[in-house]
Amino acid sequence: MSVHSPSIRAGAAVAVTALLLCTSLATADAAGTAQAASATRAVSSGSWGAVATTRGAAPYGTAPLALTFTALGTDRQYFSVVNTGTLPLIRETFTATTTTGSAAIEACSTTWNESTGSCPSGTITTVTTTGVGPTSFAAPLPTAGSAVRLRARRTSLLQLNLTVTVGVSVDRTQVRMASTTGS
Amino acid sequence: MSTQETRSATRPNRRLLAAFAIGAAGLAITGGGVYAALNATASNTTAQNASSGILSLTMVNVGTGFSQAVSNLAPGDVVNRYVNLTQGAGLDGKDLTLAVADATPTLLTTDATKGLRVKVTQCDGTWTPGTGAGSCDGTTTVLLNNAALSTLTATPASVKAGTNAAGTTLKLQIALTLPDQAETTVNGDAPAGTIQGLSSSLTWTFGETQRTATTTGS
Repeated sequence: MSVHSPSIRAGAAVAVTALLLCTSLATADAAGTAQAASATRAVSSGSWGAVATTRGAAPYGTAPLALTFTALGTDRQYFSVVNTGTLPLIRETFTATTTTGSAAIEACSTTWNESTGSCPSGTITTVTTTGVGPTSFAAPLPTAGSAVRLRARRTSLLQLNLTVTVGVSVDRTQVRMASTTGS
Repeated sequence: MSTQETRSATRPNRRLLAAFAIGAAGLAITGGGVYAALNATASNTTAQNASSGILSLTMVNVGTGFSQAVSNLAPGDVVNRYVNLTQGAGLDGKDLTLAVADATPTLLTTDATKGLRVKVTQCDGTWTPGTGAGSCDGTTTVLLNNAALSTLTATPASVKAGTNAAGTTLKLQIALTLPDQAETTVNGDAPAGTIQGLSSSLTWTFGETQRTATTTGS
């Protein structure tokens, strides 16, 4: 008898109506979608930078290079500027400072003879000197890890003890030009 | 004495039950007769076919397309990739979108200013991928211009608002670029928050919805 009571019938009717309503609403809101996805592939940015160093291999550190000259020692020391990034460098900016006296940073158009201090069949170019501030110089470093050999030469007349500090910076304009590629 | 009285009291009840039974049977027979009616149906003699449409979108690389990684981007670099996007022969689609997912998020896909950007260009002829900008032998239409991937990873961008008719193919050039930067690296040490030397793993997804539902008759 209780199954057929009017209140329970009404409740059942409401429940059925609600169920039908929900079903119809879900159908109304449903819309077909389609997607087409690519395979996952890496995209990476390059890096640019250079460092002056007397080391023959990485790690080169991130400090400016300090070269100490003694009063009775040589007046020239050789070092490398290494491309520590992944992009080709067209030029770099050099900064040379000294604790006293003066010094010059020089490049050889061929290859230094570091024993004699000569630049065989080439010319010596001043990259920068102490006291002039940052100087942009074209020393192409076309690949990661490529290097150019420079030297620091004490130019003060008095053979003083001094330390020459060489810093190298690279900004975007000194990196290879942007390119458009496709395949 | 008391037993005889009891027997005489039960006899009228059996007669009454029998009377009810006969009455009920009669009522059932006559009631059935009252509710009986003739029925008729009408149906189509040939079964009507009803089928649902299929919404599908397929992407095919043209040249290397998205199958090849992009590496060592310098600021300002543009890398073009080409894909054909074909609407299946079933249903029309509409509202084409492009989304990008990065499995290894970096500033390349999270920084709206320094990060990667994309341009989508449609050719109504055929793209010829090349080592440079590529070429289209028809008319080009820019569908998405310089959108930051940082936005596409969050919300798909509208690429084409109209209908993609079933069976048609969109021939697309996807130009990925790293915006120019003004970073200076000092003694091999890149500045904080650099865009340099980063890598992301990108998945490109075109999406669409079915054409608008219709009510038809004939």
